[in-house]
This record gives sequence, C-alpha cells and structure tokens, in this order.
Amino acid sequence: MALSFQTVIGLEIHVQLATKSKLFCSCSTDYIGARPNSNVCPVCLGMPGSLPVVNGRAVELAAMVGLALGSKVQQATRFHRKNYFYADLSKGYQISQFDLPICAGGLLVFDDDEGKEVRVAITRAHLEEDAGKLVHPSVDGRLAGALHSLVDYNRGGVPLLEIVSEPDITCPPHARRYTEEIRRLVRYLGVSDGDMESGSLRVDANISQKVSDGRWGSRVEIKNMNSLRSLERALEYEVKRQRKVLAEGGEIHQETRHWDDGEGKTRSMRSKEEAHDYRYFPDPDLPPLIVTADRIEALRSLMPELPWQAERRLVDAYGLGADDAKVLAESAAAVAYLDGCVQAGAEAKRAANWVRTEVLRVLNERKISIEAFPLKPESLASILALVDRGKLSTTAAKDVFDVMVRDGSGLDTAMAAAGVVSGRVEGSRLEEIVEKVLAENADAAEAVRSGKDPKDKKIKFLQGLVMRETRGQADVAQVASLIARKLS
Amino acid sequence: MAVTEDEVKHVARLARLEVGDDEVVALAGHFNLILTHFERLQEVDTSGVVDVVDAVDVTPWRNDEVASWDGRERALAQAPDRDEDYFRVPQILEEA
Repeated sequence: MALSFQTVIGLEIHVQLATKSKLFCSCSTDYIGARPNSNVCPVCLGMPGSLPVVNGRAVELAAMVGLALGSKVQQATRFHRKNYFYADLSKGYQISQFDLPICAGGLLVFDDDEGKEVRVAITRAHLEEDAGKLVHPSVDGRLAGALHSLVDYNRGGVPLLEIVSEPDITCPPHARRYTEEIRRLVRYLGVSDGDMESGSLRVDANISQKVSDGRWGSRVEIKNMNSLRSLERALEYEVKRQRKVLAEGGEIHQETRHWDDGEGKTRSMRSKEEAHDYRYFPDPDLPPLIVTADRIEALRSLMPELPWQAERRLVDAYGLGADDAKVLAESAAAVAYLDGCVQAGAEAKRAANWVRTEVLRVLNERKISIEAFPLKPESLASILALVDRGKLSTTAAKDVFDVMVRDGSGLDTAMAAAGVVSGRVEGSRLEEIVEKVLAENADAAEAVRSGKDPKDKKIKFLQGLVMRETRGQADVAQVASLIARKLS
Repeated sequence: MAVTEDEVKHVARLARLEVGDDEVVALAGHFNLILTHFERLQEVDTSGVVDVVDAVDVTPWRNDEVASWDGRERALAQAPDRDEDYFRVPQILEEA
C-alpha cells in the first residue's frame, strides 16, 4: 500500500517592536542606514557594570499583541539570560523570556485562499532583544577568503516579540496565510512595520512529516526566508524533500536548514555540538517584570478595532464586497479614512471604491502613508456628493481630485483650475465645444458633411471627442443631435 | 548526583574556558561540594513562600525616549580589533 503523509508546521515569528529606543537602554532603534556602531551605549555593548532598564512601551506593545490574539497577558513575568557565544551578541547572552512569557496562549483564526476557516493556536509570545549585524567582507569576491567578520551593534538590543504558534499548520499555503495575518495585525496595531525584506518581521518554520505507517519524521527548522513567497516555496521544497527521504525508508534528522532563494532549495547548516544548551537562568540584573492589572486594563480599553473586526464591519455595515473589505482592512488608517468619508455624508460603497483605487494610487505614487495624504476625508466626500447628485461625471471628479491632491486647494478652486463646471455642459457652452472640435477636425467633419461616412465611424469619433472635452458631462444624445445639425 | 568530569568539560566548552585535565578533576570536586551544600537547602519547607515574581508590586519602567551616548569612539578604541566604524572579529561563517 502506498504511503501517505501529513505535514505538521509550527511557526516562530519575530517582530521588531516599533519603539523609538531599545528594549533595555535609551539608544535609538533607527539602525537602517545609520553609521555602524553609532546607536550604542555601555548597556547594549555589554560593558561590565552597566544595568538594563526595561522600556515600558515595548512591554505595552507586546501586551497589545497578546490582547489581540486572546492570550493571557501575564502580570508576573521575568527575563532570562539565554547563553551562547556569537559575535553579534555583545554580552555572551541574549536577554529573553523563558518560563514566564509576557503572553501565554491565544488563537488566530483566518480564512485560507479558498475561504475555508483555519484555526491556529498560539503557544506564547515573549519579549527579547535583537542581536547586532555581522558583515562578512569578501576577498576577491570569495567569502571564504576573508579572515575577519565585522560587527555593527546598532541593531543589538532592539525589542523583538517572538510569537510562537502550536504545530497546527498543515500545509505551506496556510503557513503563508498565518504569517500574512500576523503581519496585518502588527501593522494594523502600529506595533511593528512588519517588513520581511528589511527584517523587521522574520519567520522561522518547524516542519515535519507524519507517515501513514506510524513513523514520524523529526522536526526540521528552516531559516532565512525573506518574503512570504520564499516562506511558501521553502516549505513546499521541504515537504517534498522530507517525503522523498521517508518514502525511501530513510530518516529525517533534527537539524536547522537554510533556505537559498536563488537555488530554490534548503541546505543543512553545520549542526553545532552544543546547540540548544542555552543554560537559561533568570537575569539577576533585572527585577521581575510586573505588569499590573490596572496597566493591562488601561491597555485593553485603548485597544483599537482589530483588522478582522474592521473587515467584517466593512462588509456588514457598509455592504462592501469581500475583496474591497480585505484590501482596506490592511490598514487602520485606510479604514479610518473611509469612516471619515462616510461620516461626512459619502455613500460607503462609492467612497470605498475611491479610497481603494484613487487614494491608494496616490499613496503608492508618492510613497507616503495615508496620514500624510493631503486630502481630508471631508473633502473627498464633498467631491463624491457632486457625483451623487449628477453634478460631476466620474471623469471630471477624478480631474478635480487630482488637482486638490496636487495643489491642496479647496473644491471650488480645484474645479476652476481643472476647467470643470458643476452640472451638465449644455446650451451655448456645449455649442462652443462642438464648434471647436469640428474646426480642429475639419477633414472628418467634411467627410460626414459630404456623406462619406457610411459606417458612422467618423461621426462617432467626433462625438467621442466632444464628450472628452466636456469630461463626460454632456448628454450623449444632445451631443449627437448638435453635431448632426452642424454638419447637415 | 555527582558531577562527572565530562560534564565539567562540557560546561567549560560552553563557557569558552580552557581547562586542563588536572583542573577538570579539581573542578568536578568543587562542583560536587557546592551542589552538596545546596542540596541541604532542599530540606527547607518552602511551600508557604511566594515566588520572587510575586514579591514585587510593580517594576520601574523606562519611558520610550532616545538618548545618545558620546562614548562610541572610546568603545571602538578599546576593542581588541576594529575596522573604522566596525568591531572586527575572527571570521565567522554561518554555514558549513
């Protein structure tokens, strides 16, 4: 009988918390592009005699994630030392949490790509400090030729929250969806920028196979996946690799493997003899971390709507399609912007459509956040009100929108600048436009006049030009009859 | 539960300490003396004693404010080796 396999995946996601200063000292966390070793001090350089003091904001951000995931936010927790030697770790140990993490338990529920509900239990989420960065200079382009590595401790001590899932994930696409949901959550809460490429969100995966003949493959840890796509690819690769070994009667050894995105494979890393002997013990430099019930309750009362709650509300209260709701609920600011439009009287579906297409387009073009978007929701609502009342065509409204965004001007000024007039273009104004179009396209006009337009192609062309000149604000039948009259 | 010489060597490796063979024997003896001493503490009834994490009412927090340190040059200068803005260490490769 052919063997069948079951994939078992658990994820460890590290998110850098969006604090200004490091977890245990006042150095800036702004390390990207900073001069090497410029954001350092005796604490994060591990100088003897220096003492760490925990950053309260980092604790709050960690607790917010816990509240969102339905974890128990523990009032009495502490920090441990995780001991190992590596040059990116200045002290010879990383301050982490061990037996008493800040968040215990929890659950993340999301839909997979087919819309089926997936539930993944959260084991824990704990606070720890990030390590520094190693730079490996090459000699003649060959890494192996270098005799030294260089260390930059700017990142050392930046607060991380490590969110550990139970091994509840059954396939690579679900691992990707889980990561997407965690990323959306931390971004939505403003807890982290959640950028996998720059490393502010990092995923390690534990993956194993259960075989139908009762065998269990050992758990393999996969590292170095820098995008959602590489996460899914690495796991797909590993599923195939492990199943092949097991199907051939081989054994899977517990090890850490490195994903090589260019090669499209995982590779075994040297397994250290003393690996995973971290000799954790409570850090005597830090008192127990007590988060009082008052502090937790204060945070709970400040918790914003969660992304999945917002997504549901956009569907239920505003009647948006699932797709629109999902895109908008990626960002708390986008949802707030839409809410602002609706409160200012805009029809929700139309407003949502504009936010999703026009507003997000401008944000992408200018590489700005919605907080920096020049147009207030009330202003967009005022444009949309004119569209609703038939005073502006959609095309004209977009012209006005662009001018308002460009100049930061008010509605009336922008309409004048865009050459847009509220209401129908008709009467003498329409007649002027028709005459102008006919004059500028004398050949086509002459062809129509002399009956050389058997398929009405040329007259349609002229009508189209007139409609474009009026930014869609003229009546099509009226335009047609006016042109016909002028050319008869 | 006596500490063996192998365990002493293991701990020494983890701590990156160079320990000679004769020292291993001596250290194993020292470890065992200390552990025997601590074993006596096991006899104390601690069932009514609260955990240290329950003995603290509130932890002082630091506000999330940035302060820069002006000693980076001194720190780099004291390092065994440097390369301009970097600390320089013996070559490290992550992969085999």
